[in-house]
Amino acid sequence: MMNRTFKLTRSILLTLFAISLFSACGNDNGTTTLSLNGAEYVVVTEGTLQNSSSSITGTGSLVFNDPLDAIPSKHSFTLSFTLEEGGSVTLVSHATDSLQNGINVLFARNGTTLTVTLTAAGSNNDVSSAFTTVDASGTVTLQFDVHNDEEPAHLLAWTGDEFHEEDAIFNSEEGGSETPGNGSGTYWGLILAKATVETAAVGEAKFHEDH
Amino acid sequence: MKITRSYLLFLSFILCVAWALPSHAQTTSDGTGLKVSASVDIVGKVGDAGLGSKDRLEVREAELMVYSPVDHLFHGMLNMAAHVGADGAFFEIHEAYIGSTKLIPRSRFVLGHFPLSIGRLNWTHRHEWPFVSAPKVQANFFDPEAVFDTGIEFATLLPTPFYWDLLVGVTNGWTFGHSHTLGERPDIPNHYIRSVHYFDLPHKGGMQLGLNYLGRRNDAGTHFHFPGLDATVKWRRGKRLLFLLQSEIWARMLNPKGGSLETTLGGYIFPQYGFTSQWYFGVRGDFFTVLDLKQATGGRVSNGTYAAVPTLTWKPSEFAALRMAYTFEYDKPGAAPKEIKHGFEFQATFNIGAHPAHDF
Repeated sequence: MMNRTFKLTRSILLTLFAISLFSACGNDNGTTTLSLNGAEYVVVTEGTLQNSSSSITGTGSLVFNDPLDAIPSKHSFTLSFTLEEGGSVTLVSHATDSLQNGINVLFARNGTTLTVTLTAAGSNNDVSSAFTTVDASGTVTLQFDVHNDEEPAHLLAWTGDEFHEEDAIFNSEEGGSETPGNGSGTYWGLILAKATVETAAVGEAKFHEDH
Repeated sequence: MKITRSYLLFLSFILCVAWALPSHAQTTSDGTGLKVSASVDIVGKVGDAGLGSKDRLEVREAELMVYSPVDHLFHGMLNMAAHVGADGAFFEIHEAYIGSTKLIPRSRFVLGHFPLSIGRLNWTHRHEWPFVSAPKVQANFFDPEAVFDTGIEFATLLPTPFYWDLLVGVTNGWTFGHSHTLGERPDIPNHYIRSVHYFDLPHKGGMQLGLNYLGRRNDAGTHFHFPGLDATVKWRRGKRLLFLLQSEIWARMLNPKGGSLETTLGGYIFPQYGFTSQWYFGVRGDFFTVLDLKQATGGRVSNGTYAAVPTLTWKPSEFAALRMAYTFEYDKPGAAPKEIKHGFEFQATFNIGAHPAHDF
């Protein structure tokens, strides 16, 4: 009788230990998270991605674990990346956790030219003409505001450290460069193709309209 | 150059107001009933809590209202407002409508451009609010000022033994809240209903209760539902507003095409005590939270903004008010780390001429 009680107790303890060990390695749905400069992310498409704590290189896609404030919200994204010839990085914001139905901003390299395309609600808009001052063959560093609380979403980009509307190199409310729609989710992530991303961070929107 | 031109336009606007007001007496004396009124709202703010520009005093808006009976059946209103924004001052039509209270017994309607008659703050001119800036629920769900749109509203006082005013409205809905574009034709335009009830309270008090619903579906197929409740309680002693309690609570259920339902809850409550007929003190409490925010790996994300806004008002007459407010804000939006924010606001508002009377 004592022996059976001991075996039962040992089984329960082993089970509890296994559960606690499992919980420590994974999370709610068992997905493994990695991190870039402290920001946790989950790989959506593994491809050839190589991950370190300070960069992500290769081809594939990932979604950051922490959500944005809400579906109709505004945020600013800090991006720093380099592209191989023919490579691209896509910033996906306000998407589902599988990076669907979001606002996609595709940065593609063609020599020293940066091609930039906005995609939302199934439509595209080429806005490359606003980025002619950016050398695509070097490290591209951008600050990108996405205001998904406006219809359609309002996007602005800066290359400097002054974030007024007039300092933006790109403003989707000017010159026929309108965003084709809005995002439908609270997640953001990146799609890489022959690219290295060194900085990808989200923060408060840099530009706020007073009215 | 752009700003200089904007300020010249703004100056012209103010001169127009100055020109129009002296002519007020002449125009009303011809028996048309024309009334001209101007309202100016000057706001200054320091600190990082709340809304609006920081570290400067600015004319947040200047309104010129012209309103009058059009004929024996209709009345009309034109309200032009100048705002100071990031690009300097700019103009917009706030209200331009024709309406009637005489065509259908116990009923009224307006046709044109107006702030939607939902909740409490949205249809009250901002310079008439009992506090300086919008609570987060108003700013985030609707607009820091109000949702304006073009359409039609119809209201009727139902023949019931108790007070029951029922209002329905439909507006274009091409844009919603803040936008600088014409927008796109929505799948379902803005449609809303407000059921207003009034109750007498002991000691000559009164309470107005509004049950609201606003819905729309934009061109991308995202469906918005906004159910809300507003309550206003007042006790007066002559000209003195002894006690005011103003509150709204709203939910936003947003169902995007290809996404998941997101429910957000927000509200505010503002009790205010009148020490005299000129001095008032109130504290507004705000809350705002997204109920179903989750990490990509499924973990729930606790989030919320909570604020306390003590506000002191000196209102020497119906035509002028000076206001000071302090905002303490606990802000934890989404997964961002929590922040404690502080802000101080100063406001001076004044009306020149006969400002249209507001509801209870």
